[in-house]
Amino acid sequence: MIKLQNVNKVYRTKTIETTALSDINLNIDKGEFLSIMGPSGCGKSTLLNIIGLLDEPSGGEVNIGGNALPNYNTKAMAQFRNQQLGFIFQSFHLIPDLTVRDNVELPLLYRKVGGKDRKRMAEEALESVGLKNRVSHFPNQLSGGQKQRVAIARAIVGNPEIILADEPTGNLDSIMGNEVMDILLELNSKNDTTIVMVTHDENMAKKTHKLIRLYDGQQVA
Amino acid sequence: MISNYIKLAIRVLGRNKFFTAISLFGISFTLAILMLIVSVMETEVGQTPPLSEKDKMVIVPNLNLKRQFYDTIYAYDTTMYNGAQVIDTSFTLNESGQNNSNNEFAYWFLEKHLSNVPNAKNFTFFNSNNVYNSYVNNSKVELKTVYSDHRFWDLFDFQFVEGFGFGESAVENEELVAVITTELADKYFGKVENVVGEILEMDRKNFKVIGVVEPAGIMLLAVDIIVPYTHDNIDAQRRNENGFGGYMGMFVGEKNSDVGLIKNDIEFINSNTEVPAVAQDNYDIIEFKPFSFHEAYAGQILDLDDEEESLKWMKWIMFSLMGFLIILPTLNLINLNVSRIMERSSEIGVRKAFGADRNTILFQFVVENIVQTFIGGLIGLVMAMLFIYLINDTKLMGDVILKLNYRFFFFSLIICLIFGLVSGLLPAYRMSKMHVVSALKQNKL
Repeated sequence: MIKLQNVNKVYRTKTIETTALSDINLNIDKGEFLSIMGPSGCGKSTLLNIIGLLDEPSGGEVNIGGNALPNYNTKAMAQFRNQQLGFIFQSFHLIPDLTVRDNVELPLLYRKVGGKDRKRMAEEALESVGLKNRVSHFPNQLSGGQKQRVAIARAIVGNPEIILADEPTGNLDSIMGNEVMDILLELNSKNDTTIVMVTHDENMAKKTHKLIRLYDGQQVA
Repeated sequence: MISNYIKLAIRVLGRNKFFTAISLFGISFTLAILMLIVSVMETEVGQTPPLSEKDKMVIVPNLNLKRQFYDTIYAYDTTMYNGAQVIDTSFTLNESGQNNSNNEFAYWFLEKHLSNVPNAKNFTFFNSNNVYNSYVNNSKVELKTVYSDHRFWDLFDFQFVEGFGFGESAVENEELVAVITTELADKYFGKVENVVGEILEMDRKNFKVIGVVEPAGIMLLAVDIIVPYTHDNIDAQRRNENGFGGYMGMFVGEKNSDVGLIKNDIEFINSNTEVPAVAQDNYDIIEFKPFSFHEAYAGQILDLDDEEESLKWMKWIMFSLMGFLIILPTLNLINLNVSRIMERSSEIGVRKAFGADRNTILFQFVVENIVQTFIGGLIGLVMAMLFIYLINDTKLMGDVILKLNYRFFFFSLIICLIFGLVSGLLPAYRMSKMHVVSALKQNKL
């Protein structure tokens, strides 16, 4: 499903060159739930951004579902992200001026799905995370756990093949963190959704199928 | 999608109310001033009654009689030739001065020379230089008076609220009839419903009111009462004089392009007109220049010698003023919008992550800005209407009555749209180029 070959990422300024990732080789099968762990600054989020087509590697090849990254232009990548990928962020990144329903509908808006269908699909996604009764609320009216569940609903509303989660439980207490993790595990087992998750939490990582560790931009395990 | 953006635009405005208030005030005040300028232009030079056919009109405002003096300039005063002094015979003639008299026309002169302009659909001669005083209940009422012929009512589309204008027979028979404005009717007769048939005393004559019109509200026709020219005693005394008087000629063509043809006709007539016999001792050149309405208007405002040059300068000044009034607040609004949009970098990152491409982001923010501008424009429209009401009520612009019509609203709408597009495009473009990862790292949502 996802294949990375000799991927590296170097950040260059006028005076400094920083290697964020070096020689990463990765194979993720369909339906797999992968965790990426490592100390702060080791390149976990950079790796996730590259897999999610939010950033381009400085070298190497990224292949998702048989499509090679260098073949994509910016518009095609945006379309691919919309159709095939879902994102969950540590800070939730819900748009404060939109209601819960409008936030969840966001990916469908860019697929030009009609209003009635968008509403139905958004409500189904919210029901699957247990928040159907909050459709007209605004993000500032929700708890942290609820916000993250809305973010999950937004990530799954378009039935993506792959979900990328960047420390989804990082800003939550253990109870809410477990709730969110349970939702992700259920998605993975029931819908066969491939999930790549960056986490600091060993307990969460143990629940996934595979774990890779990064250290100073390199794969160590 | 657009309805989503509009909904979002309105919600974003509510996010920081103080900031929004400042932003909207700036937009609305600027747009109010622009709308006011549009209203002034529309009233003075637009297609508004009673001068709806301004673009087809030619004015001949005055008569110019001249005598040119020439001076003989010798190349050498005297010279020596074969030892003898001889007077030089090589010389040039240069203009050294002129006698010049300039004034409006006597009616008879216009009737004699300019009643037959081939390309003019219609014409009229009128004198708007007269002011009489009348007294009502011991109060002085000033009467700005126009003397004219029956064709006046065909050329100018005054809006009658009662009665009608005087016809050819009324003029020829020197009937004591008058058309007055609603303002004069109120001043002279009080708030009565029908004044047609009432008698008004002016210049020691009793005129019967046969029509009441809305005031023209423009400088050229800022009058209170219109009567047949046959009652103009002063003009009657000028029948055997040099052609000067208080009248000007106004001609109208079928279409705008006839203006050039009418001007050519009048210039041709001019070139074949001789100085009136009584004036030939003092003058040998006669000139009556035709101008389009806009040239004459520009000449009146700028007071340059050449009306065509005045119109060019007036266009430059108006465009520069409008440009200045649009550019400065636009630049300010661009600046405000850039900082406002920077607050939403993270949102842009999220949208891009979920599939919005650069053009979609650009479109969203331009739509939001246009919504903001239209809200500001609506407030500005209310402000402009208030300014117009105050200007008309206090007569700040003298006899000019600013008007609100569908053209005013149309131009106001266009101004709002341009303003919204221009002030929103640059900030939106800048933000649409932002890298997704950098955007997501900015101000957390």
